[in-house]
Amino acid sequence: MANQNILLIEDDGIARIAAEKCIQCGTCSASCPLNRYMDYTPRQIVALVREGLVEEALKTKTIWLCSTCYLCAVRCPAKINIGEFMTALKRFALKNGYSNSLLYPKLMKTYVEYVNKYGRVSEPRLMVSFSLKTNPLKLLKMLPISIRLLKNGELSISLEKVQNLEEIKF
Amino acid sequence: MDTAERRLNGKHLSFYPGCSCSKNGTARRYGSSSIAVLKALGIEVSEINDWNCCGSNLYRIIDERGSYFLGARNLSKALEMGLPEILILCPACFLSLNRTLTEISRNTNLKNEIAKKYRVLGGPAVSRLRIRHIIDFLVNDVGEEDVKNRVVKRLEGLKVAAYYGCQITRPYGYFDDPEFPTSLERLISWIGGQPIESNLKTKCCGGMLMLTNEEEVLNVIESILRSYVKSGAECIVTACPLCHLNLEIGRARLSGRVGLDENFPIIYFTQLIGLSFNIPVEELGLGKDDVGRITEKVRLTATVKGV
Amino acid sequence: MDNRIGVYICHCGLNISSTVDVQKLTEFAQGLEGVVVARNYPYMCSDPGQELIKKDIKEHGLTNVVVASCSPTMHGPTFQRVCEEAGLNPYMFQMVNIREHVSWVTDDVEKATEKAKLLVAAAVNRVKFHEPLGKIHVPLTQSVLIVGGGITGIETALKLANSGKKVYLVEKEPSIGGRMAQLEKTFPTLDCASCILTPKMVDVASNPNITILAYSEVKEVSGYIGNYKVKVVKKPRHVDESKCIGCGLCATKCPSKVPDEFNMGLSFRKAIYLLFPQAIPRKYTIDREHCFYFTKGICRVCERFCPTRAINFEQKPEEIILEVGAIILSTGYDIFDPSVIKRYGYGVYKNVYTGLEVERLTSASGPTNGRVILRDGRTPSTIVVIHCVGSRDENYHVYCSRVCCMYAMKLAHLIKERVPNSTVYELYIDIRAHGKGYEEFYRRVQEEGVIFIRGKAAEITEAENGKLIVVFEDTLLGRVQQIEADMVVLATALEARKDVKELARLFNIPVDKDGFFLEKHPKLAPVSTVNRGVFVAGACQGPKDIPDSVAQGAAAAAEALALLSQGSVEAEPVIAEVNKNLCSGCRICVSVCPYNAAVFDRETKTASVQDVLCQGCGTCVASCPSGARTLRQRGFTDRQILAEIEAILPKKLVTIEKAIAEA
Repeated sequence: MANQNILLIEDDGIARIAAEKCIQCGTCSASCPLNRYMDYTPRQIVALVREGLVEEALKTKTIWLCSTCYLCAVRCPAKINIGEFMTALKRFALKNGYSNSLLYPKLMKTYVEYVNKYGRVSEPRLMVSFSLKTNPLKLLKMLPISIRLLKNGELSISLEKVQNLEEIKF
Repeated sequence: MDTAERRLNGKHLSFYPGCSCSKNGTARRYGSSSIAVLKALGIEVSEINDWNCCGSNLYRIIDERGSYFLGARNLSKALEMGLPEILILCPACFLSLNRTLTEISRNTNLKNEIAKKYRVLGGPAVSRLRIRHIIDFLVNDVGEEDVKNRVVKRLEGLKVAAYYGCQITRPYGYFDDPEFPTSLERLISWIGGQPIESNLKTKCCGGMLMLTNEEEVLNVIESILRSYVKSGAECIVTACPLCHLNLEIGRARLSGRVGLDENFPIIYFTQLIGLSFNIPVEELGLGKDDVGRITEKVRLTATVKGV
Repeated sequence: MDNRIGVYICHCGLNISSTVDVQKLTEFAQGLEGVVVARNYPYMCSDPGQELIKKDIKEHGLTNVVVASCSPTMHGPTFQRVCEEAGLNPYMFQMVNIREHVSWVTDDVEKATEKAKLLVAAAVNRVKFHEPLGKIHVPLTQSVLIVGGGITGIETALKLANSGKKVYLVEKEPSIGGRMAQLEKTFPTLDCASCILTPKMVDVASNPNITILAYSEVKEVSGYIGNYKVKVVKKPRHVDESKCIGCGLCATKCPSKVPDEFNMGLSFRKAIYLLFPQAIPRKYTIDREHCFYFTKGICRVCERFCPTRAINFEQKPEEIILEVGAIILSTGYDIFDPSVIKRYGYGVYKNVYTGLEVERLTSASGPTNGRVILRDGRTPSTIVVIHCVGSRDENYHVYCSRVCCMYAMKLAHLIKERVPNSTVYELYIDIRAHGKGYEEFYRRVQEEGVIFIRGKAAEITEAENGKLIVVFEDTLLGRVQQIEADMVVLATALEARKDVKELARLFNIPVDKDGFFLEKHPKLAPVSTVNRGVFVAGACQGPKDIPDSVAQGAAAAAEALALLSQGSVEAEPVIAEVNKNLCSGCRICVSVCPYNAAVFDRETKTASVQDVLCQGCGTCVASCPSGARTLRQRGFTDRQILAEIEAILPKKLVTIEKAIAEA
């Protein structure tokens, strides 16, 4: 059972997550605001990964329910940044094609497309194009609040973009 | 106070609005009210030239390296402007730029790669970069004396609950406790308000998951709103565009269930400070509803300072 | 004089020989000027290895010996003894560390061998300038100072006193007894703590060889092994100990009300008080911070009622100078303040307690006479005990406090005993029941119905009905759960005393990364310190339970006895000496010496160094403006050091030859 955790650590050569030192106390799980909806607790995800069962971890709902609020990270007695750990797993899952059917990756992809094209994001436009891709009916549900926001001047659909777009090609 | 004035006199920061707080963003009112408040305090801010997306978590999941390049471009622009102290409103941007800076300073390979594209980041000037959240700046640099001196209308007795959300103090919130911060409560009391506590004040609002896992996130928001209703708050102030949006969605969708009326004021804390500074409501981006609700509670008749 | 040098290279099993080519090194050494014999051997420190050296010294008439092996701290004394036994002065020897400094820090055989060669050459060059030195003998004072009068200090004192040594037991509180006096029962046998402690306290008080200095603190320590001079300050009790009969009338009349620290603030005492009913010495003490006379200038009620006229408001701190041969520190531990873990709400929610607070609640002489009740008088029916509060947590203390699992289970047992129908949960990460009878105790408590759940509490909140909501993951079920509790008990960590740094400075010993006193060796010298006459015992060295503390106390007593029974102690002759003919009497050395060893002789108007006080630190030598010929360090003369450097530096760089010639 090779330590596949290394794959996560070396992913892009940047993310550094030391999940090996987990003492399996469950503080992260019980601190998570979305734990009720997860199929595995965050602690179990750490256990899966360090036992080499990475594939199982990548298929969980849990990793996509992490909103990276870092409450687990500041409480962890082993000082593991579990929020970052989940981020690395998400990236790994996407790269290896584990989660293409899920909503969250679609959102991210739409987001990245926007940023790469304009350098900035217009949130209302992002929401509209995301909803059109996934669940157009939802736009109807959002209508009342959208109208309210528009009325309050909080919603603008005009596009902002970076002048020098060449500078954001890397 | 003399010392504070001397320290802040001519203080000039660069300003990173980010997509949400910029002119066409969903949190444009957070942006405009912050600038108005800073101006009233004699602080000059200059928007970073041609800034771009901070390289937020959403981006970073797909392309980590790219996210640092995005962040780095903003940092390099600030340095080129000669304003290495960067003021930020949006906690997600605050987190991203802080992370970029942290990674640049500890990962030499990354730094070298980035410096090839953004020259100024290869030099010693990097060490002068400071990424400041506006709460940190107002509480720790401007300080109690200056804020109080600028108050025209004390919001006497207004019960204000602060909702920080998560990423202001985590994991880069070195200016306050990561779970139980008190900076906003201090600001509220300086302008005469009565801070109301909630132990959910730094619990996550669900963030972007509102778009993908609406039901789950609405449940989270419901518990947050319930705790604020229970605490007797008359107004909730926020400091994050996404928290704000989610709370507003929650208010619209759940008001009946949690016993909150649908006009209950949920505003940015800078808007509230602006009110006490007597800044025109248009500049603060406050809707008539909000002002009406607050003034009704506060009896703003008590003009403490001035003529 | 012709030097006849022997060089001995140790393989240290594979520790050295796997990285350093010992054969090549031996051949190299053989070719060095002055070397008559060079050998290598698998274990130079072994009996045959030692015999090899002895035989060569005799047969080849060696004048100097160089051993290249491990650290001189490890085996320097061993090989010095070998030289001595073969009739060679032990200071004609030099050791080279080719293990820690060479083989352990690289895998590169070639480089390692090259470095080893240089180091051996340096030692060979140096040892030519060695001179015979004689050991210094220092007499020993036959008495011991023990700092800290808890169970460790008490046991240590009794052992030493019973073997006829004079003991001074210094305790900063008004009574001896320490933490153990606060305990109701002790795990795993459930002995009544007072019942086994109080007789020991009485023994201490009645032993003619023991002087108890309670309400006292050590302020200054001077001198050296065998001959320490210690200044102790006895704080004013404002009660004349020779007159007070401990009747307690003063306390019944005293009008003040002070939170009782012995009961962890769960009850009140008076400003004139006895720390606890079985206190020893049984003498009352006025707490100046709370006494109305001292704070407001009025009252003096106690003075009026005292039948023996023992009250003395004018009493001043008293300085006592002690002369002792050895010092044992048994200063104990502090309790981690859990209020810094804000999510547990200690200090905010009134029904969140620390373990020691609940211990006092269960105590028959405690604030509730042994009834387990909440602050509002209600009896709790659901109790949650949280383990590892401040321990095993990198945000606070990374170490395991070693006693919490056991005391948490003991408290669960006591709560079950006092509140029979209660439900008690233990939230643990791992149960550490490592001692004799501990695992059995764990089983017993399980059988008594205490519910063990594996998972650390993430947070505690208070519901509107006043119940505490404890949220955690049951890690064996993989499910996040919560318990509505009436009472939460935090099994708080043990930590180093707040003033540990000052104590360490006072006694000139180091502390470890967690702030506990650092023992000389964790396995082979567990109660010794780098300061040879100072020993440590009990929880001041690291978290410890009572059996381990008592065992360490006995060990420290044995170490002190072993030292004192030598009658005199050998001091290293590697110290500074003054050439009186050249000394100008500027007294710079006198002012810089940290051990007061350099003194000015008024008659000859020159400086001199007192052998037994000098520790050989070299500060004076470096400070002497008239140079090395005036004030020199035996065993580290300029000549010796320059010779060493000369052998290491490339020849071209050596202008040192000149320097040596000048010296």
